[in-house]
Amino acid sequence: MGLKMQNNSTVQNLTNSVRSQEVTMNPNSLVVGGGIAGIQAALDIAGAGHKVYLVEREPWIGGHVMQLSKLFTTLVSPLDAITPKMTAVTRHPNIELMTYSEVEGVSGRVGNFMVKLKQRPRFVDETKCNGCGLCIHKCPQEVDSEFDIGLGKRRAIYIPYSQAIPNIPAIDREHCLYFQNGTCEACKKICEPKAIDFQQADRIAEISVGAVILATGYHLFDPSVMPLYGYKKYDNILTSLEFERICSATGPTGGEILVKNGTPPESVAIIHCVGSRDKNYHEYCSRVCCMYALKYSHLIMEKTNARVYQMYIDMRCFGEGHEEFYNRISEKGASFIRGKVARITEGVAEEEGKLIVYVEDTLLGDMLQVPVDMVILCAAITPRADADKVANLFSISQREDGFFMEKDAKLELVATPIDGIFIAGCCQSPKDISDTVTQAKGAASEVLVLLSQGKGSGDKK
Amino acid sequence: MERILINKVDRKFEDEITERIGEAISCCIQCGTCTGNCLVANVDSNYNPRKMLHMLLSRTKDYFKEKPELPYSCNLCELCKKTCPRGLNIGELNLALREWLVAEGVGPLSRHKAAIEEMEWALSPSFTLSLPDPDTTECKRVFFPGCNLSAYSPSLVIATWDYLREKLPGTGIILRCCGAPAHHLGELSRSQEVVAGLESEVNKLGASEVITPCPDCYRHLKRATPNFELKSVYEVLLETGVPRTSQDGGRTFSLHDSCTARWETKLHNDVREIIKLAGYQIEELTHSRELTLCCGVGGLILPLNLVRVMRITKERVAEAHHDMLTYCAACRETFAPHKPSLHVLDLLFNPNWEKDMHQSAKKPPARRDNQARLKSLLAKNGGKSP
Repeated sequence: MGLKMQNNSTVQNLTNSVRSQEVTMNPNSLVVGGGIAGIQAALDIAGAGHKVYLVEREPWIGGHVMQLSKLFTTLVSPLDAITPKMTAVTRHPNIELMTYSEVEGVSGRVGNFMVKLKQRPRFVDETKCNGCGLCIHKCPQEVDSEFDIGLGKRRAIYIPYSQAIPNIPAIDREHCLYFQNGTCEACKKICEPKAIDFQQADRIAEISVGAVILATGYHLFDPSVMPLYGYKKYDNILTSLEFERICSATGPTGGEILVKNGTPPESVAIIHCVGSRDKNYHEYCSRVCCMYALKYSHLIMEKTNARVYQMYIDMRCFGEGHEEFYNRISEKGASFIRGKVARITEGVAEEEGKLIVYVEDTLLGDMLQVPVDMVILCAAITPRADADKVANLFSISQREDGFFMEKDAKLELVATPIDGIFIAGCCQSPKDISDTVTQAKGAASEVLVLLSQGKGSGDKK
Repeated sequence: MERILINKVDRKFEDEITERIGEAISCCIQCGTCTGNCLVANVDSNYNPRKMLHMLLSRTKDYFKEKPELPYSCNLCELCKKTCPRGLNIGELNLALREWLVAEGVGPLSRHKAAIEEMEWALSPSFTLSLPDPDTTECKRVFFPGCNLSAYSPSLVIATWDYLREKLPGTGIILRCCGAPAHHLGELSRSQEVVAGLESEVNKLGASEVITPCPDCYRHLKRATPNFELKSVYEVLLETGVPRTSQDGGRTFSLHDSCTARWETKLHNDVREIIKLAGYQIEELTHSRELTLCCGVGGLILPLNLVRVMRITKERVAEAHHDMLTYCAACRETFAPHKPSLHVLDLLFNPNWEKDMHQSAKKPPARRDNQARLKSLLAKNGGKSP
């Protein structure tokens, strides 16, 4: 890989060539983030014959998508829809999957980025582990499961759900008794192929790539900052992702919709726009919540006899098949109450044990008190907490709303002002899986166009 | 039902309101958060802030000439502004409508007569008094107790002033109404006259700073941008230090933040610090600080409908598990019929607070008597404690 100067060397050309030089593109690329956007982009780039590094911070790929129960509007499970793609990633000769890894430093420019990565140790030898799961069975430490958002438990050596990919557990150093105080080697003792290796250490890897796609995903708004909604104060008030875990076959209840005392709810309120469309939190609309709220109506009415109330301001169903889905779900008999919920309290007297939702039905002008057993808060999709750190690492900008800034809001939604750095998925703006996959394919296409040129002129970074 | 011929929307009034509120009222999405949260709307189905705003945008303000009690039914508490996803302040909208109704000769309403008389009485020699610090020759700052604290407890006013004089020599006192009632009723020019009158009294004493215990006076004067420096007495007490009056581990009270202090984070913190230093505990209510609820009498809505106010107060105290503690004398009096209630200054300067906590609210004749008695006590002794 070298820099080739232009042949003509008049002053004019010299000046130009200082600013704009012909570079030879490194044919490899990097995708940061192993969620659905990253997975799709990596598959497309690899399919075109280019080597791609897929770097994922967690020990397993899939991201938030794998936490979902069913996907609207097809109502298929992510296990069915996404697992094939995840498996393909692990098998593709052109994809080097680096899980439990993070980007530490970036230098260089389009065509030749030098990226420093830190790989954390699983303490499990991937070449020896056969995925039997006995180590998990034997581990005495119980910890709140992050994948289940605290609603379920895992062990110190764990896998988030049994079908996770790569199907190799990892040891959580902070909670493992061996690392805490040297006691306990239960997993090592039971492991037949002798895959447990407590001696593993952090590894630094340095790679060179011609282009980068950032697909780092999103973070869900935490409604704890809204005292009037009672989240984390009262039982049975869940965010959308928490409800997805309850509804999910891989979740803590095996997919049964239950309130905290273990019984199915008789009534559920689904509250729209929690933290979205709100100058006090996030002014933008999170785009996907109206649709998944309808999905929840369907799942709740399918799995229980509960009465479902939707407290909405608007119903945003603009995509393909979305309005039709809205129609179908309305037919099933969910109650739609147009009003932004004012507050939620615990019921007293005859309503003890219930949650009371206070809302004005703006279509009738009536003040309502709705007693329910469970409340689902459609929380905003927000930029990840470290979005500014990532933006800094790659020298890209964030918009005012905190998401990564695209090159042009109308026509260039996968490119950034920095040549060679592209963005895809929710790290650019809230969107559903279809739009994420489409954008990921767009980013992959841009990368392939860039790399296929072999050479190109890149402005100095 | 006949079709309504839509009149042209009054853009000029809409622009005026936009300038007041700081946001275009046309950006309302009619989500109903304001109404859902508004205590007046929750207890009185005739009052609906969302509908009022939409009425203004799609019809004409003349509707409010026919129903002037509607804009006068707002507590001016600004909880709507706190919760509105577009940042709209329907309290300001109602205030603008009140001012317009006054300009049109419709407001204030006949039921407001007594409140106006109270204010004018508090601006008359029956109550007004301006005294420098009797112990020093200069008067750097002035203690401005306001009508409500004076009506509630003359001895508390005197005790607080004595304490301030001891810690900060050169503190005078001015007894007078701040003009908030005129402002709340939409009488903007009268309100400005009253503030100017206060500025003049402060000037005459040679002071440059006014210290007040009343959050309503505080909000009113702050927004009137007077030519003196304005401080809350709690801010000053934190600097001077407060006595620790609690005998034991400290009783717990449910602390009520006045709605007029909604946006004053420093005031919220100062009050809490003072209560802690005095040796007491507080229960933080769900609706506290910027989310606080009006006690019920905000915005001078009491003369229009007493039962409605009682319902509002009942909703407010329902959150509290202990006796009420507050830093506004009007709030204290409003809570008194529902629960034992105290003013923060009682805890500091009233040795009989445990008994006085159960005292019922003072009715208007008793309020005037207290105010008049306060004036005569101070005037007689030249300001020295009797």
